[in-house]
Amino acid sequence: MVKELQYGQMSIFTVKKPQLRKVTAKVKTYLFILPAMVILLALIIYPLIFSLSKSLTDFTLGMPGEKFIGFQNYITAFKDQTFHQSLGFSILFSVCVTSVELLLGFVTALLLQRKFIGKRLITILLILPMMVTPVVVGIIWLLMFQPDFSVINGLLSTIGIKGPIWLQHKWTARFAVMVADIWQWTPFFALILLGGLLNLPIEVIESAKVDGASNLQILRYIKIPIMMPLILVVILIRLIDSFKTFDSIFIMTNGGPGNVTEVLSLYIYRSGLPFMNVSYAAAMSYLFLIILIIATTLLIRRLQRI
Amino acid sequence: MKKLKLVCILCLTAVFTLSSLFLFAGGGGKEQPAQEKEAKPAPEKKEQPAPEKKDLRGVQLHVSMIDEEREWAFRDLLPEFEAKTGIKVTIDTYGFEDLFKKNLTAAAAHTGEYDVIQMHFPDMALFDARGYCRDITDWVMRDKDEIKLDDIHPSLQESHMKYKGRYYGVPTHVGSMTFYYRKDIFEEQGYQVPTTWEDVLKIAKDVDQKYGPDTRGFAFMGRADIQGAATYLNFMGAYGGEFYDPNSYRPMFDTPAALKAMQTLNDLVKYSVEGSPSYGFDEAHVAFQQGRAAMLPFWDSGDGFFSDPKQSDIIGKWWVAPMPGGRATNGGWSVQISADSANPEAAWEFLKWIISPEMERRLVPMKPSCRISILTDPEFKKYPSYQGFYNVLAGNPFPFPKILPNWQMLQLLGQAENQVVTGQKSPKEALDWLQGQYEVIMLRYNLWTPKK
Repeated sequence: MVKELQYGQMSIFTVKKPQLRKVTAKVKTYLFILPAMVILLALIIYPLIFSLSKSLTDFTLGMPGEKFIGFQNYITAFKDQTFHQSLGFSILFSVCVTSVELLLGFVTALLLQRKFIGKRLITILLILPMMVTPVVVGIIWLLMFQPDFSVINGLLSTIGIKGPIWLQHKWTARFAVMVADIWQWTPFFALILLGGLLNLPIEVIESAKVDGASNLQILRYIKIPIMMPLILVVILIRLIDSFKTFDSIFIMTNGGPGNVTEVLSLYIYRSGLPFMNVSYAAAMSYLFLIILIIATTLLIRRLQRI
Repeated sequence: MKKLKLVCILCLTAVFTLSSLFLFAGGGGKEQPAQEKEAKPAPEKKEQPAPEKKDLRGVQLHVSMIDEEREWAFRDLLPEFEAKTGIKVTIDTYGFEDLFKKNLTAAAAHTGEYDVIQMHFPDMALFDARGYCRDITDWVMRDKDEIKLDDIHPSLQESHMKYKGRYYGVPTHVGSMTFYYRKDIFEEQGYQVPTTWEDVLKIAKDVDQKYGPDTRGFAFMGRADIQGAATYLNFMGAYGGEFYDPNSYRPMFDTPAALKAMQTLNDLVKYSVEGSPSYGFDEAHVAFQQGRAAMLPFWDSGDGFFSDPKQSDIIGKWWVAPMPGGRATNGGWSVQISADSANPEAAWEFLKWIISPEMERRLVPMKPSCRISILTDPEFKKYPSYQGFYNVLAGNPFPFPKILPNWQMLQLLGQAENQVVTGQKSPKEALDWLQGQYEVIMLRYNLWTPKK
């Protein structure tokens, strides 16, 4: 009996115990990830929902109360000329700096792939601009383009060219803020692409050489296609990052002259804190996010097709 | 290859998630309690009984101030205050915009980070209206003999100390814009001191022809910020313009006065130091002190720069005159006690110390004083901006608008002014745009309603 009972119990346990263990294991799993989930909810999800809710109100710092106004802030943004202008300049800025940085970065990476004296020193120097904070970059380039004692104009005058007042005119000011970004982030492209170049399959390149392919042909038909996923990823990271550029432009021009160098992130910031129009800034942030999602999705699809 | 793609996509997802965090990090904020709207009667303040003086030794105060020489002087002199009162003070200094943000975020979130805050006086319409700072009327009245209240110019009491009839702060680092000119050039050419902006235009043109390109006729702060706005207001005041109708709060940038002011400023650009349209505070005074301009409308702190033998090339060659047209932009700072301060009595002792007659006298000639006795003291006649500032106060100053969205309005005015002087827009286009912006702001803040 006892045995039978024990057998009976055993038989029950042999069926039930693994299920209980599974349940306990699942609970344990959830318990382990619970702190992370709570932090995630508190730090990401809650602010997202909070700012979304604010974007649907007329909440203004310094004003009493708030009321629900639906999508009015979004409609206002679509009609707002300054929003259009800053969005336009943000796109122009991102596309220009990313293209130039890619080009210069790739050329630099190809140069660094070769062996030459001082290569290590140059590689270290290349990393330096990336380590400088954007505010300092802004200050450095503000001094370089300063109206009265511009270093750039000083250099130009040595070859007999009278430089313009860079930060006073529409296109020279735009050029100046782009130069600062290109200076800082070209090394990022160079280093990532150098990593890609150094990991290319040597056999393929060797066999192409045996078949008589020129260096340009090897670059165009072998190196670039193999590296394309990496190139697209770097482009995407920089596009997103440059679209959010704020600090260096804030320091160099504060969006001026007028508002021709005002990027969208600067306009959102200005609307939100100094101008206290928090709900409108939140609505523009969401539009900013939607634009980024569309751009990112398109590039990721392109990446998936490779 | 598939693995590489997977890794790439995962990296992108991580980057994208982090980037979205950037956007919304500042989205949160504390819910604002209901308050009276601007331009409506002030809420009735609870009478705060003036507490008895108590032992404040060992109390610690945190103070936020603007990062300029007068405030550095307070910091340097703190050991004296500590020895006298036993109160330990830490002064943090920030740039103009950072100070506003720091004060606003601390006040709105009630962090109590600062016991004492210094604010650009138009911002009293935000900080005092919202109850972010303490009503100190009772303490001011109790200690009026000690602080010699009657000696503080009544105009400054109204603008820098009071909000809707109650005392909230004390004035320090006060001043106005004044008209600096090259005395030597004027004497050499026999120019009369200009009383209108048309006179300035004529002289600037003549100087440009006779002394250019080394010395140009004019220089100004044209940058798209508060300095550009402050410069333009001198012109606007001269032609009888106003920010808004004082009764209806209707913006008044679609008036002939506003247009004439902008046209005259724009006419001066061709006789100005080349970089003027992008000059801020520093560049403008450097241009004048290096002798590159014959005239400059500038803050009265110019005295210090132009008299400093270490940096000025025009010592003894300059002087000041009343602003052409008779109205000068009036600015300055108010120092107040945070409503969240745990030590308001100690904070009041600090306020009394920084505006004491002795302190004001010691800080001559850093900035004009708030005290009549010092502004009119014959001993200080050698500082031209002192008498100049006293004349501005006695005359018709053009203060920044003391309304809630003043910051936004000044920034937009600076932007419009800069668009004109950099040739991006005509004066009419820029002012039409500005008027539209201001009408939206006034509507949004319930200050003005258009007539149907």
